[in-house]
Order: sequence, then structure tokens, then C-alpha cells
Amino acid sequence: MFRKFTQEENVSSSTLLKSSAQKAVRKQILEQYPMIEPFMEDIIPKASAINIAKCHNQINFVVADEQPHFFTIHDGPYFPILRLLHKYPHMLPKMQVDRGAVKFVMSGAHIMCPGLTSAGGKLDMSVKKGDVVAITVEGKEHALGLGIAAMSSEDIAKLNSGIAIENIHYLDDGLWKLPSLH
Amino acid sequence: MVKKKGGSKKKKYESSDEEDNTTKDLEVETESDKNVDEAADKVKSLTVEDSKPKVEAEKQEIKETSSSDKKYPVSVNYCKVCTLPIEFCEFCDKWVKCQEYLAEAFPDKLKELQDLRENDKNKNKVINKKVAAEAEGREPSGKPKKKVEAELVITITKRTKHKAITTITGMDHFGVDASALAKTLKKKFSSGASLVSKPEPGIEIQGTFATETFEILQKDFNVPAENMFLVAEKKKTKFTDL
Repeated sequence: MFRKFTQEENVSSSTLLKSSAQKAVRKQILEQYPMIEPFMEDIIPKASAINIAKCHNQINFVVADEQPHFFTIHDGPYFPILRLLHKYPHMLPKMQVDRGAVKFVMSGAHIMCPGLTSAGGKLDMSVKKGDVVAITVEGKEHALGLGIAAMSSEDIAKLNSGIAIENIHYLDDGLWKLPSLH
Repeated sequence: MVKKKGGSKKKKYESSDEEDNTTKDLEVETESDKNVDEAADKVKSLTVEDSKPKVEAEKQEIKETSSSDKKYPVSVNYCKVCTLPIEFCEFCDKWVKCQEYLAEAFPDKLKELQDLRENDKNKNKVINKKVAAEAEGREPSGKPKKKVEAELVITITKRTKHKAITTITGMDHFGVDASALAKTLKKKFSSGASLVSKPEPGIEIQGTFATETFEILQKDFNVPAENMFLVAEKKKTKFTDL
């Protein structure tokens, strides 16, 4: 999704939201991630205005203080930026892949079932199809990427073939390299 | 649900368990305005306090390796070379350089990662190749390449009738501040000189001022003459050959 991503090429416009819309965005984010409510003041302070940066492929960024924090695709769920996920790793259920999968994930590949079901992998059984999940690696503390579950954990364990998680945003992709948005 | 006065209510909250969180909210709604404010504050502070052990427990369940006294936000150490969290340096293509940085900043972690990388069954062949190329070619191929590439091009484009535009591109290779240069040129030629970003970042001057610009760049901005080129009528020539 963000393999190549630069502000000049991919961000088409950035607009300041009116305050009622800002409230709505905050509310939606908190609805989706109720566990970050105590830290919301640290993530997007009330004083700072929220911009929405529109990109191609219907991607919208929630930008505050020139820092992107969340993004949506086709008005779907809010995804946190990886740096934010590193700070608050409890936001998303964790799906652990084995070490062999890392290099493929870091070049943008989707996560296949065997990577999650092998010895190094671990499944969060509460994950349903369409959930936003964090991709972690065996033996590592921080998330490698995040994506959308393409099938439920049960199905992953049962079927054990094909795409399990659609890779959306991963370490060292274009979005990771983007220092700020304005 | 039993209604209680503010004072006794407070006490109840202090002793209440996490599980009471949901019922608390309901109770708060039934209280009078003054009590609501007071109670709401209390609930807020409680939830903040409560959420920490809760999330810790949750984290511990999933990650046994992480220490229990961790609080949010988690502070992450990012590698200054490859920008990844330092534990991912072993997977990045700048591993050779990362090692230098890690040796300085996180010597313990470096050993751990080196061991992991060496004992990895799934050898990262692609990445290894890149690293090898970088390790070998960093000094010999990296620097001279840049010198060859760096060139400052002055282009003259014809407009309608007898008008023309002089475009200067590539001055950032020589550390020339584009806006400062534009200002100087504007004053010198009493003509329009504006910064442009497309198709390449550069300066557009109204009129033909190629040789004059060349002299200014050489004298005032210390750009070497052999790196400057003139493009006029689709021919590219070195200024030194003119």
C-alpha cells in the first residue's frame, strides 16, 4: 500500500477540519481504540487542530501538528501509524510471524498462513475477518507492520494456506520514511 | 441501585475494583450536578490509574519477554542509521553501518543481534547481497559517483517573438541557496527571477543572461567552472569551452 509514498506525489490536498468534524474524528478514533483514551491527550492534544490530508487511492491521513497519526482507506477503519503503534502496542491484537517471514513482509508481501502457524508464529484467537491487526515477530518487542486480517484466526489455523493478513503498512515503507505531513 | 451522598461515594470508589467500572458510570448519571462533576473527576482519575495495570496484564499475556513495569507510552529506541527500532537492524540493508552505531549506543543489543543474525536458519540472501555491495562499494564507488553527477545547467528557452527564459538547475549540488541566488540575480539584471519546482527545482530568469549568471556563480558562489553547462538550441556545452 505504501511501498512508495512521498508527499509531493501522493498527497493531493490537506485541509483543516472544522471543529465539529474534528470532534467527530476524535470520537471515531476513540470508539475504535477505547484503550488509548487515557493517552489521547498525548497523541492528539485537544489544543492542536486536526488536518485531513487526502491522498490518491482514497487514503486519508489524520494529521495533527504536522505529524500523521492515523489513516483510513476507503473510509474504512482507522489505522495507526507504526510509530504510534510502537508507543501504544496494546491498541491492536498481535499476530506473530516467524523470523523467515520478516524479509518478505519488509518488502511489502502479505502475510501467509504458514508464517503464523509455524513454530515461531502465534495467533490471537479473538481476531475476526476484517480486523486491524499488528504484525509482530518472534523474539521482538515492537511491531513489524500492521494489516487487515483476511480470514479469522480459526480459519488460519484450520486452512493454513493463502493470505492471512493483508499487509497495509510496514517498517521502512514509504510512509515510515515520511517525516511529516503538512 | 442505591443512591449515596458524595462523601460516602468517594470512599466506595477508592475501595472499588476494576470490575465495578461499568456500574460506576451508571451511578454517576443518577447523581445531582455537583456530585456528577466530582464523581466524574474521580472516575476519570480512577480509569487512568486502573488502565495501566490492566494493559500491563494484557501485554504480559501476549509477550512474556517484556518486563512487567512497562508503562505507556513505550519508549522505543530507533536506530539512527536505518530509522527502524534497533531490534530490527539485523533485517535492514544498512546492517554494516547499523553495527557501527549500535556498538556505540547499545553494545549489549548488538551482540544479541549479531548472534541472532548468524544463527538464522532462514538466511536473508537478498539483504546480504545488498549489504555486501554497500560494504565494498561505499567508499570506492559512492563518493566519486556523486562528483561526476553534480552539474549545474543553465538553459536558454525561446519564447514568443524575441523573448527568452534562462533556467538554472542543479545548484543545490554545490550548496548554493536557491532563494539567495534568485534575489541576487533579480537585483543584478533588474528582471524577474523566480524559484520554480517543476520540472526540476531551479530558477527562471526572464531574458538571456547565461554568461552573466555563469560569472556570478563562479565568483560569488564558488561553483567550479568545469561543472557548469550551457544548454542553448538543444546543444549542451561546457562554459569553459565557450
